[in-house]
Amino acid sequence: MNTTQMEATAKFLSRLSDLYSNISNWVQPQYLRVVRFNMKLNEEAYGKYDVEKLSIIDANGKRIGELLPVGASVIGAEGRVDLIGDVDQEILVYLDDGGPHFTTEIEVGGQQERRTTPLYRGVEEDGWYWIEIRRLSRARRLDQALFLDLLAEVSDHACC
Amino acid sequence: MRAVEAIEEIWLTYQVTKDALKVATHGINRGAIELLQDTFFINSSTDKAKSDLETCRRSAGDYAILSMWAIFERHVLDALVSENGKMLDMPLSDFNSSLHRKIGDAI
Repeated sequence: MNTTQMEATAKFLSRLSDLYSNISNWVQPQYLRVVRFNMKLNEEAYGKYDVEKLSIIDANGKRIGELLPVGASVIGAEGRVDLIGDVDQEILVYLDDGGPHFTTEIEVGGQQERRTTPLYRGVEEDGWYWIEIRRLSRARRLDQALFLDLLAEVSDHACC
Repeated sequence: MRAVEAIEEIWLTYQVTKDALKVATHGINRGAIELLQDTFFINSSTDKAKSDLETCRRSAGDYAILSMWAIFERHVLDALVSENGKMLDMPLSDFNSSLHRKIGDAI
């Protein structure tokens, strides 16, 4: 792994760690706890590296959800982790302020016009986002309320 | 549609599919999200997207061969039915009547 690759994976791991810390605080009032497990990711762009996944456990010791890192090399995002429950799964992506965007240039009568189009609406700061409706390109910043809703959705767990 | 036209259409579909997959692969390799917008590739890991494209490329080839074979098989069966029917127009003999029955049963 070269320096650029190491920096990219270190950034991804640090963002994951921040997310896990937030989730740990968010689920505590619901009498849930989290446990981190080591795993390995192997990406063509970065090679093999160590990463943590996160299990969310209820008061009876039953795992109701898991955050499974998918990778740092993701199309249209700076990293991805999947929230997986017994009944469904949701995709969480890390987006930089403004999100991914592309620029088109049109030249009409010698005048050049540049237009920048964001891939998603609603990305106003760096952070983890849930893509609410991909067809409408709407991203929602992950916070406690949203995370608990998503957890309930994927796990069918009553307490969330 | 004649068999040859059907096979030409299958071949054209295969070629266009292969080229569309090539365009998608270029888009992924170059990070051209404007090409990939509103597709399922967005938010997919790069490795998964590439492996899905490879699977799709192989499947497209397999399906093209399978479709062409189905058309060819249908064409052969139609030809056999037609030639088998002509046998009855000939002076009937034990040989051609039993051959006609045998071919008819097999089809």
